[in-house]
Amino acid sequence: MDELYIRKVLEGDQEAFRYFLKNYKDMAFNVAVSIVKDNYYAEEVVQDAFMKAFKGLKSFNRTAKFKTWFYRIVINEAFQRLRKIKRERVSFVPAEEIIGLEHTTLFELPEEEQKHMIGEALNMLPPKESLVLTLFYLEEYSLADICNITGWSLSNTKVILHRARVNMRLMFGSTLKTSH
Amino acid sequence: MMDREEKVFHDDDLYSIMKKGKRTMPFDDFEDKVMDKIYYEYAHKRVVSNKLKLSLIFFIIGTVSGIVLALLFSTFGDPVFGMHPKTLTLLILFIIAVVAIMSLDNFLRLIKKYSD
Repeated sequence: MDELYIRKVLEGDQEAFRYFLKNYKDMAFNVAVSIVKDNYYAEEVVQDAFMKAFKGLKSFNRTAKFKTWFYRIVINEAFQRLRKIKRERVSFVPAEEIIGLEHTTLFELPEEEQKHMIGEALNMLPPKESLVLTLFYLEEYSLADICNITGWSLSNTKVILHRARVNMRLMFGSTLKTSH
Repeated sequence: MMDREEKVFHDDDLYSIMKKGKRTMPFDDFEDKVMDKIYYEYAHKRVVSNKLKLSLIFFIIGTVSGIVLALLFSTFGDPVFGMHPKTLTLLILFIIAVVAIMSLDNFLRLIKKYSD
């Protein structure tokens, strides 16, 4: 399907690009916000990534997957933005509200609250860790695909993923134990 | 199929947490904003492309006129502006060459950027 719309855009049908916006904006937003940790910056990152994809569509290697190529653009844009804003990363200290979860079960909370808690927890993780969690557990990319998208080595990816899991378990540990 | 390395990281809790924490683009006008940018970009590209063609025509006219003028000076027997015609011709050709090389580089960069 992507291939069809790529052809349409390249033939001059700009409106056909809306297909990519509809299909990839949410996932691109998830990836971007996991790195920049701010909705407004993430929106800008995704906008810039879509513009870059539109401009670069002609040079896109059609044998590759559009999704992988596009995520690579999003990730590059997000890390560039992160460097620009020089936002101080809060070192990993579980927030009060998340520690509070020890007395309850995450999955027993109302859905919106669960979503908020998980978002907060991801925001506390270093960008690379929340990114790798997003790619591996949400997007269900393989380790090889993650290496391809991020440009990290396999061993580095495994280390980051391991740390991310440990940190998530630290935050949601008791919750997770009681959920099963 | 999941290989052995990936099985180590298999974690039902995290799959579940990440799925529940999935975020959606919170800005309703996002698609329209990007599409507006795309339309603007496309229109801008066309305008620049047309202006580029026009400026290329004038660049060629200027260069050819300069060379003709220089060759014309070289046929003069008497000094022009107190300079020997051949010296003047060389000076004009040198200026044309410098300007042409500098402009050509910019032209090529712009053509590459705005070519359809």
